[in-house]
Amino acid sequence: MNENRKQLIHLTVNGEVQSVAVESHWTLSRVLRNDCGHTGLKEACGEGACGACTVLIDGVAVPSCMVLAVEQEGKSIETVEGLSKNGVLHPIQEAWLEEYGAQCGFCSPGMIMSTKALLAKNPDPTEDEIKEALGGNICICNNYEHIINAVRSAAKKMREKA
Amino acid sequence: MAELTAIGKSVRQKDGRARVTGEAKYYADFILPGMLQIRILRSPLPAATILSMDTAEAEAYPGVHLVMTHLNFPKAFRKELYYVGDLVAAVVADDETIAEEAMHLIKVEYEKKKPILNMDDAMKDGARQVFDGVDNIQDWPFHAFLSDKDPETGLYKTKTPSDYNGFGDIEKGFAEADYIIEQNHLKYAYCKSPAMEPRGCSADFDGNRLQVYTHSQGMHDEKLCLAQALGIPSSMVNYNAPYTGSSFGGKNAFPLDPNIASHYLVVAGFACLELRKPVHCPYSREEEMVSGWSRGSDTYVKIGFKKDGTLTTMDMIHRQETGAGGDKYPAKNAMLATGAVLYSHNCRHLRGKIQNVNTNRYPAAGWQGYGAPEGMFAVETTMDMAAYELGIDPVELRKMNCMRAGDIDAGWDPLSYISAIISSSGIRDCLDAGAEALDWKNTWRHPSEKTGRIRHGMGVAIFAMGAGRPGPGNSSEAMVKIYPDGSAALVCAVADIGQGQHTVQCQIVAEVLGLPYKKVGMVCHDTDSTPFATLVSNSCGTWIQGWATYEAALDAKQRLLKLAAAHMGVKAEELDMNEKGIFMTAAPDKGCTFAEAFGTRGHYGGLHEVTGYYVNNSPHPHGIHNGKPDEIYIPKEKGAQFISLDVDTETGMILNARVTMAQNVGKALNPKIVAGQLCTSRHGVDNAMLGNECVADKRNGWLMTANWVDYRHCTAMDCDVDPIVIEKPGDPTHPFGATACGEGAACPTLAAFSNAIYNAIGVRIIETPYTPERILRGLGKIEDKRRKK
Amino acid sequence: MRRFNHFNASTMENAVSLLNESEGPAYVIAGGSDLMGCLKDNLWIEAPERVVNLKTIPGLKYILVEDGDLHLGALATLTEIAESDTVKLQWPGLAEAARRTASPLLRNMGTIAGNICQENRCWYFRYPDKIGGRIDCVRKGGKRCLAVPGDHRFHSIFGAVNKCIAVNPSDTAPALVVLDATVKTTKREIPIDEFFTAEMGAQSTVLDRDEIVTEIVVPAPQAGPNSAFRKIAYRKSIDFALVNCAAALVIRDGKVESARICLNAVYNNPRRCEASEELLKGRELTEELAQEAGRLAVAEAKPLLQNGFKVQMAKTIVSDTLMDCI
Ligand SMILES: Cc1cc2nc3c(=O)[nH]c(=O)nc-3n(C[C@H](O)[C@H](O)[C@H](O)COP(=O)(O)OP(=O)(O)OC[C@H]3O[C@@H](n4cnc5c(N)ncnc54)[C@H](O)[C@@H]3O)c2cc1C
Ligand code: SF4
Ligand code: FES
Ligand code: FES
Repeated sequence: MNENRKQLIHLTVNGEVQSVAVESHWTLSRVLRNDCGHTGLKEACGEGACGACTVLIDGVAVPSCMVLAVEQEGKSIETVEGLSKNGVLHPIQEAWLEEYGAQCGFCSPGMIMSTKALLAKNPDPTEDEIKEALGGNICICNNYEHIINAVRSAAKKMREKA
Repeated sequence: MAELTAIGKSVRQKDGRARVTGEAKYYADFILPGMLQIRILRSPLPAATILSMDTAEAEAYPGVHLVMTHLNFPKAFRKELYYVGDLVAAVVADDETIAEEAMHLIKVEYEKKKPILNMDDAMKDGARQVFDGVDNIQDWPFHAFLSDKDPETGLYKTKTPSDYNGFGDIEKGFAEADYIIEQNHLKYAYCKSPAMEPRGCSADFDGNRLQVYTHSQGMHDEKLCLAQALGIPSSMVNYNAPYTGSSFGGKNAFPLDPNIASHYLVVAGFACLELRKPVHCPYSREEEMVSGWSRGSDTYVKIGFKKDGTLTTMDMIHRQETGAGGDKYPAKNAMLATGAVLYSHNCRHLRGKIQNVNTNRYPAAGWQGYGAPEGMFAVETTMDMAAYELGIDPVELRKMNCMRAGDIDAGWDPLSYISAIISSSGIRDCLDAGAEALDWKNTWRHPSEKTGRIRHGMGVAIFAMGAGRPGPGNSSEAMVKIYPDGSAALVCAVADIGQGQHTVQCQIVAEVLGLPYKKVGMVCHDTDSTPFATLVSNSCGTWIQGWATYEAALDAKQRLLKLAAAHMGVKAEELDMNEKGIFMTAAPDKGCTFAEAFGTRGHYGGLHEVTGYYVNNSPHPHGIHNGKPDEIYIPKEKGAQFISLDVDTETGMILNARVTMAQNVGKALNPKIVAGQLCTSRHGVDNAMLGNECVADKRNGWLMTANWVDYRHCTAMDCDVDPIVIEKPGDPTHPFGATACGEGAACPTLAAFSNAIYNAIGVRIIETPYTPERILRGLGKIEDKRRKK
Repeated sequence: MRRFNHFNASTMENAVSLLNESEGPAYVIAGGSDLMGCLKDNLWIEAPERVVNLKTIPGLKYILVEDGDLHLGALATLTEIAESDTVKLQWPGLAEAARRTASPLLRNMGTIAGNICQENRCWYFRYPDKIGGRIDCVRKGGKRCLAVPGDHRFHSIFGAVNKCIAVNPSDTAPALVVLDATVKTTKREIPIDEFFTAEMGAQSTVLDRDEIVTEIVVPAPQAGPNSAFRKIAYRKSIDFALVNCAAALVIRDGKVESARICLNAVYNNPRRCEASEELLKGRELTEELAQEAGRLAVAEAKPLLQNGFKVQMAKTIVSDTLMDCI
């Protein structure tokens, strides 16, 4: 019954072009999770205050729960699911495993995407720069010590690879 | 013990890969075809009766499948409403927008009642009863007086019901004391029991089985309750809870109690059974915020000392808010802070009274410590006052008096035992380690020596917390399977809510079987596939499930060795196993492969798995002293926490807060997991310095802090934690000498903070949170004379 | 969230006519970091009928210096402003204000125009409809203010405007005020001192319903880049100010020639500290003088029962911010 309210948009999600019919008030997080099958993305506060839903839109980290899907026509979106390629983990994910970056793991998809944006801009961040860059991502398990180590170790791995 | 290969190593998280790739399925990630959405209409009033409801318009709204109220689903909804946000009705619709739109079409007529919105009002003479016929203040119904001390073991032999917990004669104790330190109205604010993932569930019914998808701290307990609440046989329900997006006690679901915050299960369960369609009932953050609060206490403490600082006598009255019901007795752990446990070494006379108080605020739930942080807050600030008054270093005063191994736990949990022997302590080591890390001896200064605008302060507090409880109901089972390819699987239901249980349990299996950790798999998806495990509360996983896992692995190993012995024509006792197969202990080059032991030839013939099984009805035999069942050991979480901070005396802000958290864990089964657990001290930091409390509008009962903007949790930038893990002395009640680690970290923080603030500015604040308002007022810097509270 | 109609504007004129054509309330959306929260909580008495997207209008996302003046396109994000070397060098108070706003994620989406047009954060005003229903207070067109008799620990210490004691929560507003910015709109140029008002119902600015900010112009510093911003908040990130303050000084020959000081989160509108500004004129800025300026800044404070602490904070932050300027 609501088909008539829907609008078709085209997104590139993790490199794959998708066409989705969305209602104007749907958030990007809702559409990615429910309509594009990217449930790796989490929603925890729904109001921009925790970063669990962080995705990269054209390379910029934003909370997808605060973004309208209709406004994303033609955008390129990266979620945590896009990081590993053919079962090979991204260095950030590897670092997360080594350093025990996840406790319950509910903040991890968002933290990892914020980390990706940080390291793209700043390949060798200091501890304070890491803390500041993750300043929009809450971890209720309070696993920040391990998370900061994981970001450091990921940075190192990525510098070595580059 | 032979050198450990898996235990004590920071192996990778068992299901870590799924968590970092996004493949891990938390409940909301089960998106079932044709799933309907449930939205809940919530009470605008804190206390009211529903007089009438008109749902016709909502029912007729296109896309709506069902409107649920107390009229058609009396087991899921009530006519009486007890808090703003209480459940009024639910709409099941094609999508969430339709459900929301229809929800607003429901017309409800309420009769308002006068709400009780704080503990003081609830306790006033003649106050309206929150629940008709139930006193607003209730005594803990299991108070008991202990007497008849066995001179040899120190254990008490007699337990008499009483109106308080205790032993000795406090009148006498105080009469003989040289110093008496007393504080009243120590108030730990009512705070939100947090979780990253808001609560909720999905349900699917195929006419035969009801599949429930949710998060859990104990899926079997929850399933049994849910089946009973829905009035269907337990065998009909399969409870799927493969991942939980954290829970610190708050998400323990108990659907049988209408006051507890697990209505989503009952609402979704009934909707699904009625419609025979999959349904999804997620709580938004705002709904989560009106479900499951904790802390919230008002405590009186009086402690008697000898001149030399020996603590002899203690009195405590601890009142705890339980809001509009919910978890009934979250307060009893406050007793852990008293001479019953934490100060059991010298305390000879004790009285401790526990009460809970109902209000029309949001229902209470458990949270990390379950009363212990409130008790520690009250007692450890009072101990700090004592240290200053007696002129004894705060660290030393604690070292003199804190519990030691062999002291008697006298009544922390009088349900299941009279008294018990504390199996290990190490608090004094923790005090030393923390003090050394901060160079306490050289840098500690009396507040009177502090000058300038920014003043530095250091505070300490110690703690003891349960680490699993012996006694009925606290049982867990495990099944360990060994396969012919030399891999193994642990099948059990212990919940991994972020605390690392799945990893640690697999480490135990790997250690016992001599297999690499990687070859041990974990099966813990739902109730259908697993045997019973008690819920993970009281940080009991390592202890209760740990024993079950250990014994099941041993059992499996014995069975396999027997098979190998038969194959090799030797005695099983002569054999051992490792990654490569089975070998003779005396001649490691002689042995057989797994396949040979199993006798398998491909799929034909032989055995395909060997299964070990154990049910641990705690206490495990190792938890019994001298083989006498009435002399049991009880393990504890324990340690010391130090806070170092600066106070800006002009703004009242706390700056540069740093936590040093030292805990004796006996044995760190996985050091990184343990360090991560110690960092949960930040939950205390949230409550101390981020201004968090339950702000309910004093006339209307609205929750003003119903989101994560107005209710704050630490970011990476706000506070650092230095974990110090101490591993001695190994605890005798655990196969690897471990105790527990999890809830302890949040217990001492509020006291240590208050003590550090006092140390910085000479102002003692005994009401949380430590807001700039309270600090500036303490410093005499708020001029407004009109203000009163 | 309720349904609404969404339009992508192609030009400013198009955006204005889309607003004008709307039958019910219409809002423009820039980054959306504030508007989305309002939509999700369904907090207005009349739900928005349409939302008009400005991000599809080309050429609004710039940071330029022309003749020494700073030109900020309406869609310039807070991240871009905070990280701009020019802004950091010439207008440090503004760069710092942007850097201290919200969180890195929100600064990536939040725009400068959205920041100064955001709705207030009074917790009664923002009460979500999901847990018992919206609260219709005076500011929304209802009858009463709930904060005065209720919990107002974070509210105004300088009295009410039209019975409302909500504070303006913006971090960049005080910085733009002390830098004497001009707000250019589709209709006019508004000096920043006249831009904010709590007189017009829910919104916090003088903008007409169909008026859109196109650019913000900040004049070149007269003597040197002597501006600063400070914020007191519980958290270092994701947190609104308990009190914030910006100051900009013109210093010649070691003396303050003129000063602009602005407190925010203390009153409905950003609040210039005129008496303190006067005090500084012609004098050398010392610690003592800064403290005196702080005292003067709160001389007229009228704290309520619960928020006296903000007076002390405001006093202190004024003197601290002044000292940061040199
Ligand atoms: C968790 C959280 C924390 C936050 N913390 C802070 C903080 O610390 N400090 C702070 O200042 N803010 C904070 N904010 C508010 C917000 O993120 C910022 O104010 C941001 O700059 C708003 O910009 P935007 O582009 O996202 O605005 P939008 O949400 O797009 O718009 C906000 C309002 O301005 C109007 N508007 C937008 N652009 C224009 C224009 N060009 N002309 C006319 N009207 C316009 C919109 O109609 C809307 O009413 C926070 C928000 C959240 C969710
Ligand atoms: S302070 Fe203003 S916004 Fe808040 S309740 Fe009062 S009138 Fe409404
Ligand atoms: S869920 Fe989007 S920021 Fe919290
Ligand atoms: S790991 Fe649980 S929220 Fe971060």
